[in-house]
Amino acid sequence: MLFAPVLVWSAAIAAAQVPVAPSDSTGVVQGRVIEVTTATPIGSATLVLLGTRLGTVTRDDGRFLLAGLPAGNVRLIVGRIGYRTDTLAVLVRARDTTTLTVTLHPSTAQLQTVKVAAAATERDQFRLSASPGVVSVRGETLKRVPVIGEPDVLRVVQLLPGVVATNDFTAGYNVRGGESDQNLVLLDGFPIYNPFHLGGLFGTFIDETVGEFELMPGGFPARYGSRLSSVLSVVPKAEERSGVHGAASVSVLASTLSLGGMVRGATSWNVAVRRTYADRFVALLSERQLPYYFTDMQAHVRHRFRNGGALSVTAYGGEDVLDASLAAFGDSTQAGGGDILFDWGNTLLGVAYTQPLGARWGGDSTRVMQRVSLTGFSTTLDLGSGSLRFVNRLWDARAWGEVSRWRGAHETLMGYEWSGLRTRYDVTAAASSDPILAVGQRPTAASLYVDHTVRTSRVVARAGLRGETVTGTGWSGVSPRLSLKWFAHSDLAFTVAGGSTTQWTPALRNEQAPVRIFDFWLTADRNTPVARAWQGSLGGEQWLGGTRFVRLEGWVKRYNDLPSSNLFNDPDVQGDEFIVTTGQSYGADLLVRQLESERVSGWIAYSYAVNWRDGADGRFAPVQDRRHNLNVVTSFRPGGVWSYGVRLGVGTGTPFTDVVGQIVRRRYDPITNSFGTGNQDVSREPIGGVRNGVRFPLFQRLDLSVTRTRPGKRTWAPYASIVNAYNARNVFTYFFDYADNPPTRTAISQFPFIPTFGVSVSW
Amino acid sequence: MVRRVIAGALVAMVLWGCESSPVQVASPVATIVVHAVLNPDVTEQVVLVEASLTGRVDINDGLRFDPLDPIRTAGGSPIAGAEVRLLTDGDTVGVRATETIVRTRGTGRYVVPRSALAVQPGRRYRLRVRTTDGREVTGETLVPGAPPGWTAGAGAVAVPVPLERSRDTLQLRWPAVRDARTYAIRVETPYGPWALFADSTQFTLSGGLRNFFADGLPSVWFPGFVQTTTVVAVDANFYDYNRSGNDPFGGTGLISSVRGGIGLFGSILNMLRRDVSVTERARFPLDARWRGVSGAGAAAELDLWVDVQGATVSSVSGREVTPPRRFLLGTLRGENLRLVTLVAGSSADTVSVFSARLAGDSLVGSYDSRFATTGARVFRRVAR
Repeated sequence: MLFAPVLVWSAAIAAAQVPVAPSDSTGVVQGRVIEVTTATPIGSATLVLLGTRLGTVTRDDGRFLLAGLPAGNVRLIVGRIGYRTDTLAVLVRARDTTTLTVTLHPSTAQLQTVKVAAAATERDQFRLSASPGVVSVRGETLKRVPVIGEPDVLRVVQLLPGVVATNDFTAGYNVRGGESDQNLVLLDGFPIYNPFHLGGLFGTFIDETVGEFELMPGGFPARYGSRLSSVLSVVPKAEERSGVHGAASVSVLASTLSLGGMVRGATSWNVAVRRTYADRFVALLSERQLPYYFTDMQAHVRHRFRNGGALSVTAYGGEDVLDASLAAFGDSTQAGGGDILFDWGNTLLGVAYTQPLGARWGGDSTRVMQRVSLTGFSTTLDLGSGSLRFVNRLWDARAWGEVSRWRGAHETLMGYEWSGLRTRYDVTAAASSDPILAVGQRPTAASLYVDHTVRTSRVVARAGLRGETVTGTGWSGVSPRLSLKWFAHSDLAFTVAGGSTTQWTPALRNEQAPVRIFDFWLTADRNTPVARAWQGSLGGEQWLGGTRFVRLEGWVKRYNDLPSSNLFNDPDVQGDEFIVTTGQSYGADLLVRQLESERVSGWIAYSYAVNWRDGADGRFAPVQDRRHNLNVVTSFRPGGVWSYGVRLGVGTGTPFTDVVGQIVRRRYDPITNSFGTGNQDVSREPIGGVRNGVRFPLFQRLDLSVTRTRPGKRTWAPYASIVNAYNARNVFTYFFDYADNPPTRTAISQFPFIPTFGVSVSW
Repeated sequence: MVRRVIAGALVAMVLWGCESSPVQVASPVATIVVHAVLNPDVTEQVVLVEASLTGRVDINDGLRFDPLDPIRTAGGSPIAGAEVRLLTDGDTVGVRATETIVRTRGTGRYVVPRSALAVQPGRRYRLRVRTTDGREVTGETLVPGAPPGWTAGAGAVAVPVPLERSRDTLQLRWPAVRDARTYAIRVETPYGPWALFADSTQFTLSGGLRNFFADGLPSVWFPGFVQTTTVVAVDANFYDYNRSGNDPFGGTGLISSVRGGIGLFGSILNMLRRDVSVTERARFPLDARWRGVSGAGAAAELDLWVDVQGATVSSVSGREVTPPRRFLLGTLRGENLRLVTLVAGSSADTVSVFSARLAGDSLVGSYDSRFATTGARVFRRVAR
């Protein structure tokens, strides 16, 4: 019953497709792709019939099968990241199978590698995937975008179509009108909950470890659940070269070291560490203290078995530590000050195993995948050595398995996901024997899903269904996902997609606050409903040559049961943390992209969006409602050793709540029976007007960068970057003073002109 | 408290970001703001009526706080001439409050003496405020009921107790109160009160407690000080108003308990009161009794302690052992002592500054007051 709509949908697609059974005029080519020197199987290599969209990707054991090829002499293009692209002449015999072994040479010229990889990823996405709006960005591209301190995945995500960053001070992002907690962030397929450092200023991903990342702003397949708005999948870099290679970098923010290599042609490993050093630097130069630092550690090991199976282990640990004794600052105004401990961090340990099963279960090829992971996020805020202590802990033990089967033009994917969540939110005071607040939740979520994709010469269609249940909520639901891509010709396709997503882990966060230190995650329960969003999109994508395309998509999204932080919640009452809102968003995204194969590369992303929410205080625009948003990101390599990067961002102002007066908060003193005793500063609080009823002025920012790269045994690459080159005064927030006569408003700007620099060396 | 952290992060960003020059904005319409807490233990009930700040009225933040003019001298804009009435349940007329007049000017402070209305535990009261322009604000509160044996005034009398900060804890117990939403524990400190709500009927305060309501997380207990600690039972209005607050960005979040305006009409019942005499074991050379001559030229003895030792600057506290027995706060940087004499236990209200050098068993320095600087004053260490 659950999968009936999928079957109907698949049958409809199958009826429209071109038959793939061998005919008198077609044949089959199968074989393996291996490395020329070690004969190591090469997985994920692409084989494309020249001049057509017919192609396939090798399995992990390097094997492939291409059916339906026209009989006669054909040319196959074979390529993969890290290897030189090769073109093979193959004789295809009608109603017969040709077997061959393809050898690929490791690439030595870095730019050549770039060219192959970039073209392959985006073009393959266009040809083979039904998902709309997906943008892939390789790790190399990160380095070409002007940076704040150092390259940052999340800062680049903010520049993609459909994505809004509410201000410069957050690396968080909102996708197609969604809230910032609605984005699923995956590192090698494993979830990370708060991928931020320094109060949200920087992301946690070490750029040297990033192979590529992919943002799905909507219409994602049924295999992804638990978030409403987007999937950001970060793929770790896998070192394919034997020996030990590495990179080290020093920026104004942090130092990074990454090492990697390949052992016996079968085991790839990468480890990286990063740490800010400002605290050590200040301690060296003065008696004063900067009691803050953050660290990241990441490791990724992948072993390929002879039978084609692959086992990978991914580990991540990141921590922000603010451990200060105010009394040690040496400032007489802080004399007697107490200790502050404020730390937070993510931990992740994930194991993944994939095993190709060959032509079992009646298909051309079958593969199973199993992942297990343990993701943690914890934060502690301790004021005065336990005088007041906030602790939030989250553990997500997850198992995710799926079976993929290919048969001709059909690909069926079935899987499950099981997630055991443990959250705790405790507030204690040394003065109190009882906790001020103690909230613990232990729900379990289970999902079953199926995705069926059909690829023909004119259509790529995918139908999926995801059934989910969460204990403790009394909720079970089914989310259909449909996507249909129709090719007008080989370079122009139109996609229509729609479906539903759900989320049972909302974050306790005041969206009105412009800063995002981190989110306090809770889970749905009897009081907090599981949120659901329905979304649809319609768009087209036109390729202009092999490295350039234009994509335009319109989209609409509707939110039901959307939890929103309840500012009036009572810490004594469990279950009033959220109030339920509904909402809607619609808009259009335009992407013009030149892939990294020319002297000039980059993209132009323009997004138009309209968003509103209906809550207890009526209808209002959420803070991410930036109507027009334009980002131009370009990289220019005129030849030689210099390359230049430019980022121009222009956007209409985001909404905020105007302050229409202030009140003096008075505290009753039971001893003197008066309000106030004069020994405290007057405390004034704003009175809010219409919620998000006014908007900040236009946002604009130009960032520039230059990098000098001299390839060699050791490649040194010093770089300089300027953020906000013409020092535009973009408003971050306003402070109002109604104690002034006349009243005044002071604007606090976002990033001013900031020059940064650094250097990296790789070998 | 999370709000404080966010505010701290915001300050850091303000330092990084740029601040533009203030620009003038339009004055909004003022809202009536009311603060009133009924207390059966006091001789008069106080109702404060003021206007929200709109920028139309000059606010002077430099005025010395006057409890009889508590709005104007604490950053507010009083509404004078209002008709303020307290009504018992079922009463339609009530008792009209009298406005306190200071120098012929209305203060927005309205009082109802006990002789006109004796507020009773466990009873419901209503508040009605009518301003001269015809606007009306109303509220209602249920005063927490009295536990068996409770008598008016008993909870307002201080019981003295010693607290050796490094060793002792202060244990508080009180009976359960019917109709109380919760209990508020409060300790007066020179940097403002430390307070917490507690559901239980007992509470233990440690000597190392820090005041997370004051900048810099100072100590709650200061050696040398006598600090008043109170426990009151509160109604839901009092609890909601004091646990909430308007978000600094959205301007919402405050839970008001009056209709037609903003503010609090709540009630409390005094449960216990302790005057805590704080001491500390001697740990540093300064921790001693010092005998010498005061700024006024009289013989004086001071008890001093290092409150918290810092890397370069330590905080100091103490008291005058001899009359007028005022409290002292200060800093010690190396051998240089700066000691401030407080008027009434508040860091905001000082009378003089003693700047001295610690040399062995002597403190040698001089007093500075608003009017004069004394000659050299020498204090010598004596047994405490």
